[in-house]
This record gives sequence, structure tokens and C-alpha cells, in this order.
Amino acid sequence: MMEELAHHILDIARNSVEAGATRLEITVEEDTQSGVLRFVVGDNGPGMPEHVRRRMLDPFFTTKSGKKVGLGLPLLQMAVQRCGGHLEVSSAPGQGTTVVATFPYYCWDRPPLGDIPRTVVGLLAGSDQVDLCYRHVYNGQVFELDTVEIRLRLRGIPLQTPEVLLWLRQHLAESINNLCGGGEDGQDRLARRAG
Amino acid sequence: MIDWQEIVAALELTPHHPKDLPLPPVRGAYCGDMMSDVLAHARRGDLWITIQRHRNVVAVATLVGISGVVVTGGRVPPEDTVALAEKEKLPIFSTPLDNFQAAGRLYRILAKAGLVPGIQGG
Repeated sequence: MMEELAHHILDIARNSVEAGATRLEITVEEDTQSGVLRFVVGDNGPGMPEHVRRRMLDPFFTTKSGKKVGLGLPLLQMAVQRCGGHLEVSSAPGQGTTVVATFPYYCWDRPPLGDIPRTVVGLLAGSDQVDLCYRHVYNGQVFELDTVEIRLRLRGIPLQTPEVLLWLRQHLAESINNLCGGGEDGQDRLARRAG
Repeated sequence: MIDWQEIVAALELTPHHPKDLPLPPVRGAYCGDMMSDVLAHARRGDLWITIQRHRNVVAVATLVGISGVVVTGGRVPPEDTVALAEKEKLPIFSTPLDNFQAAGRLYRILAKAGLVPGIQGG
């Protein structure tokens, strides 16, 4: 397992990009009433053939050349199992891959969500071919950001411009904070979200 | 040179690998339960003390070049982990001691052998 769920998200999404995906859809869902935290990373990449899908949770299996181990999904599965959650991966050649990790919201062993703005901006900074839709759902309230729309508004200024990425990071941080931690009990809620 | 017999006795270790598996030299130790932390900070030749017993432990240990894994708290590594460790020729033990006690006893042995930076042997 890793320190933050955001690290798992980054790892899975990077795999998507390395596999050739050009669009990522990342959703984080927090439901404090039913006590569920779920994240979904979906891509439009090539998808996994059966022989890869069969071994994707085997830590000694990787499709990358020059490597002996592939720990992305095995570590996520370990984190999920440790808290009594579950992991679903759906993938087929030509249909992309979707990873859904579901955790109990209130579990001492659940890693905190971590720094989502940094993760999203890190993914965008690392590849100029990728579009990303980030959706955050907090008790039914939704925040959504799509780089396709942002690119349109930028009118030709590259998304990778440092100022744009910096703005994006701040915008994400403020929006997620307003969504999840707004109001007088903000600090309390933030503390609980930390795990 | 660290004597494995001394470590086995002091840490109350039960081996879960084949008896004839050659034990590599121990050059240090790392204690941690978070895989990404161990990947980042443990070093080749370290003995790794952890509560984890998932088969990912074998993958992380192999990647780092760990000389042996000590699973603490009386936890016994499950069959699939033991089988994978055997395949990778990774020594794997369990101990009734907890992380703190196991690390403390190992620290004493390593310090005596001059393998703890900044601590003189003796």
C-alpha cells in the first residue's frame, strides 16, 4: 500500500497513459452517510487482453520490458483488502480499462485521500496528449472539471504552461475544499476525511 | 559478519522457507509496514521487519534485494506467500515479538557488529 489514495490514483492513471490512453476519467466519491469512499480511474486505452487480465494482480507480472515486478494493481488490491473494501477492474481489448476501488469511509487502516490537485496537475504536466475529466462527488454534490473545456477557453495557450497548471492546481484545491469542507465545521470534516 | 544463528535465537524466529535455502549476508535492517516506504528506503542486504504477510511482500523484498523477511506479532505468512518466497529464494520467518521488540533486539546485534551507522560496536 501507499501513503495516500492519491498515489494509487496517480500510479493507475500513469499506467493508462503509458499504455496509450488519450482520455482519463477520474472520479472520487465520498459518501459519509453510507460510509463509502470510492475512486474510479477509466481510460480509453487499448484495454487488456485476457492473458494480461488474468495476471494483473500478480506482483511478479508486468507488461513493461526490463522490469520483473509490477506493483500498481497488487498494492492497490492490498490496500483495499486491508480495509475490507473491494477492487474491480473491467477491461477488454479496444474498450479501455476501468479500475474501481471501494473503501469503507471510516477505517483506521484506510490511507487518506491525499493531494488530488497535485495528482491531477502532475498527470497533465507529464503528457500533453492527454485529456482528463476529474469528478468529485461529496454526499451527492458534484464538482467536475474537464480539460477539453479548459483547452477551449485557453484559445491555443498550451495547458502545460506553468501558470495554467498553477491556476489549475489552486482551482482544484479550492473547489474540492468548498465541496467537502465548506461551512463552519470545515476543519472537523477535513480531519475526518484524512482517515 | 552477522551470525544468522544469533539473529534466529534473539528474535525467536521460525523459518518458513526450505531448510537448505542459503541465507544471504545481513548488512542492515529496515522496519516498516507501508510497501511504498520500504521500496523507497530499505536497502539491499537489509533484514525487513514487518506485520505484512501479503505476497506483495515477496515482490517488494525481491525488488529491493532484502536478505530476509521477519513477519511479526505471531502472524504466519499464508501459503501463497510462502510458495512465492520459495520460488524467489527469499528467506521468510515469523516471530511472536512485535515490530518494536524485534527491531530492538536486532538493533543490538547490528550495533555490536558495527552495522548501525554512528554507533560503535561493543
